Amino acid sequence: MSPGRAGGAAGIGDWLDARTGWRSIARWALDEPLPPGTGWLFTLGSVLLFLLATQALTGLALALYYAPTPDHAHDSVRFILSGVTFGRLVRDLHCFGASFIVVAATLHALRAFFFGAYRAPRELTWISGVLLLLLVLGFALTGYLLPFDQRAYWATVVTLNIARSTPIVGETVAGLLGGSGPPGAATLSRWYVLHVIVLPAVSVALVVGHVLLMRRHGLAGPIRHREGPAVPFYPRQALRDTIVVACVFVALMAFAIVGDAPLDAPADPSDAGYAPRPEWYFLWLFELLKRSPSSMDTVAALAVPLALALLVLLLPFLDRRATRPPARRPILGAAALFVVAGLAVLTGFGLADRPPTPTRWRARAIAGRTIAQREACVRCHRDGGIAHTFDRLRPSRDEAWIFSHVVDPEVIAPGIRTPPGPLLKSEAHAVVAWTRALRAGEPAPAMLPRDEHALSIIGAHCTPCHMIDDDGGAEGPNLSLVGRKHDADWISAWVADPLGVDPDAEMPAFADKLTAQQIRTVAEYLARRR
Amino acid sequence: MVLWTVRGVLAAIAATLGTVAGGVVGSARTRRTRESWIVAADLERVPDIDPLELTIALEREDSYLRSTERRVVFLSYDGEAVTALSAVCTHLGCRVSWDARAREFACPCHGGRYNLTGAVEAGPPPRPLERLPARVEEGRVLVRLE
Repeated sequence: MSPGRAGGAAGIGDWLDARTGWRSIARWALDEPLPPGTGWLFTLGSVLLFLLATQALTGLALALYYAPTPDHAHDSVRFILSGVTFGRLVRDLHCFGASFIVVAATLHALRAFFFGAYRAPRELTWISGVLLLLLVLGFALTGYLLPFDQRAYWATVVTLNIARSTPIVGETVAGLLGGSGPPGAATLSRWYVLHVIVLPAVSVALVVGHVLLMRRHGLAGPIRHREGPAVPFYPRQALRDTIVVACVFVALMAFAIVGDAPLDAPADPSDAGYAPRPEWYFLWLFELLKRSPSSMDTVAALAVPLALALLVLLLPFLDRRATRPPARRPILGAAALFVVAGLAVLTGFGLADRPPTPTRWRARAIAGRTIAQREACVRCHRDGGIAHTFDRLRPSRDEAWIFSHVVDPEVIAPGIRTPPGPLLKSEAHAVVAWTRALRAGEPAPAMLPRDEHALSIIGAHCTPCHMIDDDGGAEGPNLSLVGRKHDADWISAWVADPLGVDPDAEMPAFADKLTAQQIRTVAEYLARRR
Repeated sequence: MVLWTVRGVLAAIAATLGTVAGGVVGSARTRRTRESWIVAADLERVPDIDPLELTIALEREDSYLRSTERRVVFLSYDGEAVTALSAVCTHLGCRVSWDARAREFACPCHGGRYNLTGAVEAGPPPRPLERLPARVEEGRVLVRLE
């Protein structure tokens, strides 16, 4: 009977085998002869294949919704988080998966190093692996620009400036990366293309080459050669690989479910309240940059990583002896330990240096929130209203846009029959500060109603000239600790009519702008600040 | 003969496609800003102790987008001349801010510090903060940005 006539699944299998030969391919994969003593330490390759496949799949899912343009990138990522089924999970898997790959690839390389598995004839297997490790870092670097949030923006500014500092070709390289100015549309599209087309294509080629080379020369096996016949990959090693992959999968899922990959406020080069820090696997370079004097900058940023990469890449040609146990290679082993320890220590310093981000919920933001609750705003910004509710707004709108919309809603939203009355400029600034706090995703602090009421008035009327909690203008005195100097009665009298207190006063009177009750609230609050 | 023909034709095709693709990749005309004098502030608003921090919005052509770039400038006035300093750290481009307690500009990234005139006080920056051309006209401070 011909294979095509056989019934059931076996029949289809036979039919396909006659045309594709898939059974011999499967046999070739499963019967891979392994040197005796191959064990758990040799499962990292499969773990990496699994993690790379996960990145490809989750990356594809993200690309369905992501828009690589400066005016939509952040909104599209936020949409993935809030509007797509499993969107947050997929993004977390993709972000934490990147960290998992960095760890697994490093362990994989260290295993090959200490087992001396890079020696002839496996030089090219080693080199293709090191290139893949560098590509992984390239993926990470290009990947975290994509959300176009604050972290993305500043990491890219620094990266582009490092590229620019390369002797001779610096400007050209920066230009090719879309970085002839600050990061913008050109940068985002180029890094996106690198991240989803160029790097994946090169990685697939390198992974295929790496695996085929591994099969051609076989595994190097345990450090001390053991006598005995080769063991097939299936079933024992296949089971080990499956168990470790399953553990890694569970760990990754746990990270993605419990943890939250951060999304900062949209990129804003003028925001001083943000201290940029890179992803943890670049912290060693960050510390190196901090610690080296300016004359050594190019050395620290380019030469050290480049020399390190080159040394590791050319390792098989630098160490050609036949002995494999690490104890027999004391200098090389010590050098490797030194490098690994150095990277770990620098990373530790980097982790310790996390400056606190000052809260964005200060007087102006609180005033802005109060203003936005007014009838004039809520009339349109409500459920079923002609504009979105505040939580569904596109906060990545330019601040200048928000400002002009608040000052005169009709200018930007024409067709409003009865436009709300115009706001004071200082009130419009307060609303902008509020949207800034909103889009930073920082929860509003709990505070007493009387404090909130006072801060709302201060944020709308005093901050144009006065600073309070490092927020506001510099023309008048700082109000943060004004209670140490004056009591509530004095402040009340002063705010109502400064000239009545001091004939040389420069501050305008507020008796006609605020009610006596409002002035009293502000004075009592400020008197408590000591 | 055949071999050379095949090689030649393939090389010609590769060269043509390579030139076209290379031209697209290398195209640098993605960004343009115009250099212009911008009214930054009234002179009387510039305090004589701490520098005045200003955010200036600059219209910019960014490939297919017309976007607004927000540049931060620090103005200070010593009674004679106005100094306008760019807030871009000369080390690797982070945004410096004024630390009023230490009376220094501080960079949040790699710890660069500058004094009121923009000269480097500490950290890795290779150059002082960039001084932007500034002048006073009819009581207003004008700053040239590009």
